[in-house]
Amino acid sequence: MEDSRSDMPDSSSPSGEEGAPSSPYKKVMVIDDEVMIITYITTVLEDHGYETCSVADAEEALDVALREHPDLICLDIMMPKHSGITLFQAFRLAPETREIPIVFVSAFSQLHDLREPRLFRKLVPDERIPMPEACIEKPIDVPLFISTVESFIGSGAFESETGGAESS
Amino acid sequence: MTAKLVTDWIQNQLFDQVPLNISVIDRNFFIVDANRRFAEIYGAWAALRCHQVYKDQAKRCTRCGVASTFKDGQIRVAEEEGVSQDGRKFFYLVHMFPVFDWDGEVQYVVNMSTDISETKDLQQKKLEAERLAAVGQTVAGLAHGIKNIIMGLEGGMYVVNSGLRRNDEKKLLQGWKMLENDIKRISSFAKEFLDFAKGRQPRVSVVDPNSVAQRVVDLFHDTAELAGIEIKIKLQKGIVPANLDEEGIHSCLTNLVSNALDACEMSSEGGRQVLVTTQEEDGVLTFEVADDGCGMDYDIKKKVFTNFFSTKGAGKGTGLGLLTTRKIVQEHGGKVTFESTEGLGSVFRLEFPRIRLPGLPVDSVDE
Repeated sequence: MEDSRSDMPDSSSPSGEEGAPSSPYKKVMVIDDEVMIITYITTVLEDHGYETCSVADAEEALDVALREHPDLICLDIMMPKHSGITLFQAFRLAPETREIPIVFVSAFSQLHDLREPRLFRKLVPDERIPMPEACIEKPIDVPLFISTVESFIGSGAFESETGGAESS
Repeated sequence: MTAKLVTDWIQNQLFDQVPLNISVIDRNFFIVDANRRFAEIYGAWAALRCHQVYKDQAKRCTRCGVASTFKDGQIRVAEEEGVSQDGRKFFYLVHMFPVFDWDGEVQYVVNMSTDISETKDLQQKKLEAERLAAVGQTVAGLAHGIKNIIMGLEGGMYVVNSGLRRNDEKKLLQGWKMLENDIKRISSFAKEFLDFAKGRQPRVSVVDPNSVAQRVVDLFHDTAELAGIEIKIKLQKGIVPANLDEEGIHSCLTNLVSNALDACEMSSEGGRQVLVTTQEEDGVLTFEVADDGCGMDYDIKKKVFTNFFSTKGAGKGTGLGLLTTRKIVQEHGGKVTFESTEGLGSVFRLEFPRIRLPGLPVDSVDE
């Protein structure tokens, strides 16, 4: 399943277009095998003025990223078929996606290993691959999550008039 | 000293001084000779039968290795529990050697035994450590499962609130559905966790492994047929009943067969067969569940037992099944192993070395 949307007024989805989109909105891609989690995270992001696209099937994730040109990727770790770690390495190695900041969002008990360089290298031995930009534990703390996203790509171009500051 | 005298002297010295307890048993189970070390441990043995001396019991042992060696002339090794002359219970490892007469009949059986109580004690401690490790992993896994549910509930609330703020009915319904789903999930999680906790004190009895496997296959027969999957069973004949928690082993096999059926259904290549096998080789009792379903890739294989990991998609698996299975198997001193190839299928094995199986509860031992 994949989805690309923005609930902001006047937004035009660049989905399916070739080349870099010229949308004024920062776009965040959410990858999680649980559709409910996707709904949650994309709603939070949209409420804070970000455009979103998402994919529940890890196998499609790279293709979707190449097409959607997200500014940041939120990536779950435990997913069937391909784990988030495998996908992370694929993103980091593909020239088109290697510069996109990646934030792990997971309940994975070894999440702290990804924050610690030595342990990270055990999980991802390829020295060419730099560490993820951030790791956020599920359940997410909405203000922390949003401030983390902002620290990499700036605030959403449009602050939702329905209350971007709302937290869970 | 002549060569013969030297040989006799060495034999006598060896007989008394080797670090083994040696006894010679005749066809009527009387001990007719024993070395000094034997007497030091067991005390007087003259005119007494082996079961009286070794185990301080009046009746012959139910499964008597000495009787079997008299019958077939084979060398045997067994682990037994004995009683020393001062009433101390201890474990010993005994080798039983036949001594043949000129007609080829077994005239005596020589028992050579060593005290292995310390080794057994270490084994018990190791088992206990394994159990504790399993509990630790379980708690970590439980935390993971709960975190996912909390994330779902918080997400549902957030989306409901967001829908209300935006006056967006679609969003509101999405959030509400998330809440409903997660409440169902809590319910099934709690049920599975109770099942998991229930196995803490295994009820051990003497169980026919083949009948447990057969019951599980019978249980899934209709479900498998409906899904167009063939479920087959291959039982090794003559497996001796073993000390098992029947309900526990039934749960383990149920989990494995259920997973195998799911793997067949998830297979895009049309996995259509599940095979349940029992066998015993070299004192290891094995249950095996094989399928030709979707199999697992390296990443999934690594995570199978690490925590509450499920590949079955939202709301279907809690990831407790294999953890429960591993816990029950470890309580039996056994282990769970598996092989899996993505796209070709998986084989899960429950292996139980007989010497590590739990003892029967005291009140159920037949005197």
